[in-house]
Amino acid sequence: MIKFIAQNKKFVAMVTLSTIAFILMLSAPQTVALVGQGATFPEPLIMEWIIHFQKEYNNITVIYKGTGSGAGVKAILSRTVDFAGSDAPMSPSEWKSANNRYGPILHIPETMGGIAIIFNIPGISSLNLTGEVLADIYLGKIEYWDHENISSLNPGLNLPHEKIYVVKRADSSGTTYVFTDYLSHVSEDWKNTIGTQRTFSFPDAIGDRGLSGYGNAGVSRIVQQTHFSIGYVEFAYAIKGNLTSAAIKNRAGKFIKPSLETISKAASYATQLPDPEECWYGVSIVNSPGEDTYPIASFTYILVYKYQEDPRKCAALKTWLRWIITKGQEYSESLLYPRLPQNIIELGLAAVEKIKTRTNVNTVSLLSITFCSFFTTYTRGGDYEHFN
Amino acid sequence: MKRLRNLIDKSYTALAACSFFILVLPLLHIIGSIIINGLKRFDLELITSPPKSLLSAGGGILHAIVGTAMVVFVAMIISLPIGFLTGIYLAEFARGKLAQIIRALITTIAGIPSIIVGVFAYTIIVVVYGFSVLAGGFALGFISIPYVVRSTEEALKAVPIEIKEAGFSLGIPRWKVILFIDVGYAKSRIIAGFLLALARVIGETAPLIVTILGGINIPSGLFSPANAIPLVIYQYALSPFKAWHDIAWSAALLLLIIALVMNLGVRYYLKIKAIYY
Repeated sequence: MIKFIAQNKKFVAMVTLSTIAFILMLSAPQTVALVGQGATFPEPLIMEWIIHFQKEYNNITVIYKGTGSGAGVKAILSRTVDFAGSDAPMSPSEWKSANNRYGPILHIPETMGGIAIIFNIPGISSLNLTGEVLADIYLGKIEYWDHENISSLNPGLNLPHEKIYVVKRADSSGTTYVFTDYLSHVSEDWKNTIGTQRTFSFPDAIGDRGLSGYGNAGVSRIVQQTHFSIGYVEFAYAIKGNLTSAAIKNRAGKFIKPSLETISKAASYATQLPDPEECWYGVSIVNSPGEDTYPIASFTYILVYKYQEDPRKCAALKTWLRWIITKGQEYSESLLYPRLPQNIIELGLAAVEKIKTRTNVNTVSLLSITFCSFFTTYTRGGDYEHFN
Repeated sequence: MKRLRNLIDKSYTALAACSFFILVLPLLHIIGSIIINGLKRFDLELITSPPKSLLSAGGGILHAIVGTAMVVFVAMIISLPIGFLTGIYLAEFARGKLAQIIRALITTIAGIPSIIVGVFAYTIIVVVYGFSVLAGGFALGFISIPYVVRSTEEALKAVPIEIKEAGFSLGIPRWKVILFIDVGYAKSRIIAGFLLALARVIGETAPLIVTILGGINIPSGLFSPANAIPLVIYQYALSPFKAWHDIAWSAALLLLIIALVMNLGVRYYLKIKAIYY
């Protein structure tokens, strides 16, 4: 042994050092860690929140990774996370199966998204559109930019006689969901042919005028590079990519361009929102009333378990959630996310107060498991299946 | 006749040169654009600072560098002993059907798409312990095992029989001959194989997404989630923010440098050991 060490001093030193480093890493002071995953849309904002939140509360660590809304909901169902992000509420079947296993899943809106309709017509920097016209463009009924339905909305604008290239998302996405949700609200045709979908295929009428891009970045790149094209992206991508957005006619009859204020307005008029403990499926704030409301907007939610197992984690989670819907909102606008209006903040705070530890859940479940296994082993010949 | 032969000869040379350029051009383009775009933010802050607020310029990827280091460290702890011993078995003991089956299995493991290995790690580790360095290390370790096995086996097979015989003639038991004489002789090649396996897994993205999750914190231990350089590149490149795009380019440059240094380092190491790989 001694001979071995003497012969391999370098090697032994390296091994010792790395072992020490490893042990140090393991024995780092234990903080409460909150783990979350899900929607990619709010990820930059959540990262910003985490940076500031952890400075204030240095005994809480928050980890969030954007893996997609669908993955977030799945993580909630398998309980591999403490919270999840999702652009769409859980479906009734998902919500029920989670409710049966873990108790209610609370939906807390943490920020909002707006979808900008971006276009690329050389020489034209502002365009008015209505939901019906937009649906007709995406259904292939309107083929040229100088179609009378478009030019009647834009008096004085010299629209070219060029084919419209229509751009959509190639991947399944929350952006497409909100966009199609809006079109379903304003156009019967759209509702009956395509409806509200995370992804859809172009109708035959569009033919080779239809283009698809991966992610918001992909769609904005295609629109940037293709003259006479139109597409839809998250508001932040339209601003950061210097793309021109169309003004959309809202329910009050006004043409409104997307901006942080006009998107935020969509939530302030949201009425009849369900209780946080209920299933939020079907909640939609597209085409909301209000004079200066931008009509294509949505919430993005944090999903959490009402019943927590670990009291320390429960307290940390409540602190984190309270912080993001109040203080966290101050960071939203500089990252191009709309602020939550006061009514939604209050709703969120009420939801946070509902989170609690399930008392003695461990003792009860332990006893019941012991009882069940005893019972099944000795009376039913070990038929565990029956109790699962 | 001679002229025709010359012509054919020349045209073949030209064809070969052409295909070489077709092969090399995209590579040069990739390396070139990574260097040009990556140099913008390739500073000390990149490797010494965790992410900072998007509102203040700056911030780095220290969390991802530490995460990658920890995950790869765990991967090596898992794959080196298993791969090394399997390699010895295949080179020295394996005969007949069983050996063939084991070799086929190892080739199969090498052919499994890495995301599937990630999902495997997810089902047996993440579901129990949560997203963690351990799960990521397990996935990467599993991916690198075939490389370690193969390089160990090849290295041991290249040991001249005379050297073994010299050992046996002194009455040294077989296991000692293998462990001290064979492995001693093939040491540099085995180490080179380890390093190449490491270089292979350091840029893996897919299995890490489902195992270590991510986040902006420096992992506090084996059971905490972590981030990794390829994951940061993936996330930042798709964001709308220019500052993040720059960091993604620089992180790509860093990854490129790590891979180059490791590959060239191995070549140099083998050269000074006077073994051509």
